[in-house]
Amino acid sequence: MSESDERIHDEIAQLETENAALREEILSLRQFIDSMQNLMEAVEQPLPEAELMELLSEVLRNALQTIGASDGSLLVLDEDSDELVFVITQGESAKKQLAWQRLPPGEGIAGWVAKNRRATIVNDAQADDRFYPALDRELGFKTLSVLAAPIIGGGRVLGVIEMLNKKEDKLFSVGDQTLLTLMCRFSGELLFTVIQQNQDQK
Amino acid sequence: MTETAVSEQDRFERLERLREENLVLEREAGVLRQFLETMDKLIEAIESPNRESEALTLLSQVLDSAIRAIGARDGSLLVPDTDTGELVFVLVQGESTKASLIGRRLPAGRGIAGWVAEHRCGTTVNNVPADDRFYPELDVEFDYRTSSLLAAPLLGGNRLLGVVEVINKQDGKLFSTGNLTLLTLMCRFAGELLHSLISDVELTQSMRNAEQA
Repeated sequence: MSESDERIHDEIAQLETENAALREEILSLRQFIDSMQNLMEAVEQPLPEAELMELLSEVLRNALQTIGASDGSLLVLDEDSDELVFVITQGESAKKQLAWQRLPPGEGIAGWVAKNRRATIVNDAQADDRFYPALDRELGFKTLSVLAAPIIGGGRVLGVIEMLNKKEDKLFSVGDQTLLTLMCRFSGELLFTVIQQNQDQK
Repeated sequence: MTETAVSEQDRFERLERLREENLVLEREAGVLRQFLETMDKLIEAIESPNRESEALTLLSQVLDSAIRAIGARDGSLLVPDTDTGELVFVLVQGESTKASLIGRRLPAGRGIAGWVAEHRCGTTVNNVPADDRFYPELDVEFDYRTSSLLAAPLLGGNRLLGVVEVINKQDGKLFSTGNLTLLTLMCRFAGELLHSLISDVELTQSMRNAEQA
């Protein structure tokens, strides 16, 4: 192969990789936009309390898909006890037994997220001081990596969304964190508006 | 042509195609990344300690990012005057910024912005002078030419807080449905954040008042 042939060959290979990565990025960003748009449309009509859960379920499903994690859960803050309650679990190894389990105040990575009102990435969960291993043991689950973000609405923490174990043993990225943070915040603020409206009507 | 020559040409064409594709993909990814960055900055601004004074800075950021992400020349933010039903120009940004436009009012229900406020939904107008809703008086007065326009409501807590207009897409291009989706989402996100900021400030204020009473 001549030198110029080799250069062309290299550039083709490089562009193919680059374009594939860009296509993947665009796809995930479009998925994110679609899910935000669906959420916005869903709250156009008055929402009874019962349908809020369905909406949150949808948010979690979209987050799992957009970010490419194998499992996820949504925890809601019990303002009386300051505990986080597992309300929805989804994914490959969704554990029904996890529903309604509680995390003591400030415990676990989710507890840290609720307390500090900000998202975090933990790519080696077992080695992280904040990790709460009791649930893994109880459910026979192995948490490897965690991405968690607070659901904030009207200035208050309403809950936390956790993504567990990024697929194909990849690591959660800062980009993933931004997407989850935005999804959670947008849902939180929309939720706050819906709750406020429902209260006004009562 | 020999066989090697053909395959060499094939390779060149392939390279060209990949380069073109790369440009298109980069451009699209760029727009989407900028959109994300804007929303991310909004959260940062709202979480910062001196956020009360930052509502207008926040809105100014939204407008600026919207103009850049969508690739338009100018943009403005209008806020409703609840007493008169008029829309007031509060921010004007872009290449041909007319500071004197600030404070000007659109009569209730007039103009494309008035339509957006009334219907609470965004709209794309790629031939503005031919649109019945267009309010040409301001163009005439400010010697400006509005060719294309994208407008979306700023909604928060189910209240209309304002209207964002993005004007004249660059290079004479048309605004797309994708552009409208981005603007609508940005506005809704900013609107809801603003709403919780306002409710929070009102709550703190009423708590302070209660303490003093």
